[in-house]
Amino acid sequence: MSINQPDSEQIRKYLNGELDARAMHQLERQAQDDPFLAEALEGYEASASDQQANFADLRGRLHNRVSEKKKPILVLWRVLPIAATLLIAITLGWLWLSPKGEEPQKQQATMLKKQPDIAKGPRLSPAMLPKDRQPGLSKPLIAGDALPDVAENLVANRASHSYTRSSRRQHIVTQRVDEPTGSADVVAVVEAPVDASKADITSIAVTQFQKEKVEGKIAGTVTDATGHAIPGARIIVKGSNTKVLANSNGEFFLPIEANKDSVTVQMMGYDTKKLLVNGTGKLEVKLDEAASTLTEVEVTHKMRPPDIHDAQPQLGWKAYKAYLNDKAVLPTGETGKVKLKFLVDTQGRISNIRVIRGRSDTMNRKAIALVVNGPEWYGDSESKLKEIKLKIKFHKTTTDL
Amino acid sequence: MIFLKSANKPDHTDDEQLLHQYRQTGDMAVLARLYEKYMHLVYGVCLKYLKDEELSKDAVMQIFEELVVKVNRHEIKYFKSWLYMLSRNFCLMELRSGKKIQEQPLDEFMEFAEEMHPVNVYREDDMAALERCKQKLPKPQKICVDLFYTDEQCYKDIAAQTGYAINEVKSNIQNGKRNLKICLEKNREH
Repeated sequence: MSINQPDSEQIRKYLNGELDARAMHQLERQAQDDPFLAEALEGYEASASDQQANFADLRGRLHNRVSEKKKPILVLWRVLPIAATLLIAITLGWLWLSPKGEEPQKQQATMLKKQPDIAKGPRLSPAMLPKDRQPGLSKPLIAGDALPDVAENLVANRASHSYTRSSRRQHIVTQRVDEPTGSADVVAVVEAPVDASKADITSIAVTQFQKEKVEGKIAGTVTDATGHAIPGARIIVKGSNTKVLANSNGEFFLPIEANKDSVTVQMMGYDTKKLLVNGTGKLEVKLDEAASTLTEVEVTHKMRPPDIHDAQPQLGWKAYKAYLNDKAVLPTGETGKVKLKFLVDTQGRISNIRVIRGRSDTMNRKAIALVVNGPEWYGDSESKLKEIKLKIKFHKTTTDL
Repeated sequence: MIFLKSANKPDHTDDEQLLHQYRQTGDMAVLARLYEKYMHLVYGVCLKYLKDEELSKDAVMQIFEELVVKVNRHEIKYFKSWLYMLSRNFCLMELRSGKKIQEQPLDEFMEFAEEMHPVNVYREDDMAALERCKQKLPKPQKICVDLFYTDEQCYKDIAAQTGYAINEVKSNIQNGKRNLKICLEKNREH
């Protein structure tokens, strides 16, 4: 008979009386040693019906329970496309409502609907062309995240008639330029320039764009009147929840887009400063030290530590004993012990010195002198007079410890 | 002497491995495999206390949920003993919470409350002591213990031979064994 754990099958056989006496005995022995098995057997005996179907059911339920975990992942994959669709919808809505997006943008938006895989292209924002190249240039048109394909459509439809809508997928940056005479769209095609002059514009536009994207925030420093950095200053953008702290070099970056925001710079010990963010240049904030200072706090040391209640040497017992040990030397080299008794009052004054057990007269007198002229004492906080007994051991020289 | 030792050396190493593997990977399938090894026992225990197949099946699943929560919180030396306590406690709580109130005689709970892992080392001179202790047992207990452990008979055969009911045989063996253990321990102290 196997010594292994009896399985459900064996239990079933046992209960049905299908096992021989020896096997039954084995199982019973195991049950005697194993209350778990014994109780389980009792349970089966009481129910007296075949449990195989229930076992199968339980196994199925357990496996279902365990494989449940995979379902949420599947759900996640179902959610992703929905999220992507939502993103596109939001982008579309934004395109519609964009204040400068007049007629051409509407066209872009309608075309966008035909492009389901829009989000795959790299995201490009419009870039500002250098002013010296394009006089009379207005603010850049912001076309949104889904711009590449929109731009491609533009290419196909209006800007360049020489293009046919081919399978070409290129990164394109659009730029709307308002010229005094009217309006015109400049389309720049990255990697596959239409002609030499447009390629030139493109490269500039792209580098400008990258620069803006990376530094997209407004950088600044906070310094004191002497030009030293003030780390930890708090910069709050007015009308928003944006708050940043200057780093250890007094530098900060503000994630704000518009130029019209006003910020407040605060730091303890300095006057708070409000300023307008103008342009994208570096913001240098100088804070003046606040005129008001904190009131001084004087910390004084109390002579007697509050936790000392017993009469004792002010040095502490350890140092006091070291003192006695150091000084308990007679010029004659006489050795021995003197036991003294004295009283210490609440002020720590010593009185009533008596010799309990002494040696020679000189030694006794020396011992008394050591205590009377020695380190000061703390008085007892409870009783008025505290009796102290002290044993002073005289030895030959100071080195003889 | 052998009959006071565990007849089976439970295979703890396998349990330990599975438990370790689960703790490292967090793979529920591993825990389920471990649980499945003892699921029929858990179910039996639930049947004993709850006395209802459907309730017991639900309890088995709930105990697994409890296992998932508790397995990382407790230091588990022997998974089987731990699972036994977990299952039993669950059923008792279930009974107490009034879902299925059923009076249980106290000694039925106490019957198996012996230690799960008795000290298996007995000295040689215990042999003589054991014989002495056995003589002190009440007669039905002595007969049943002898037939069960020495002659290695099963309950049914013992019952047929002695005329006791199977349940009587069982409790005679249990009580006899317990009395022997107490007697032996006393013996050792002197």
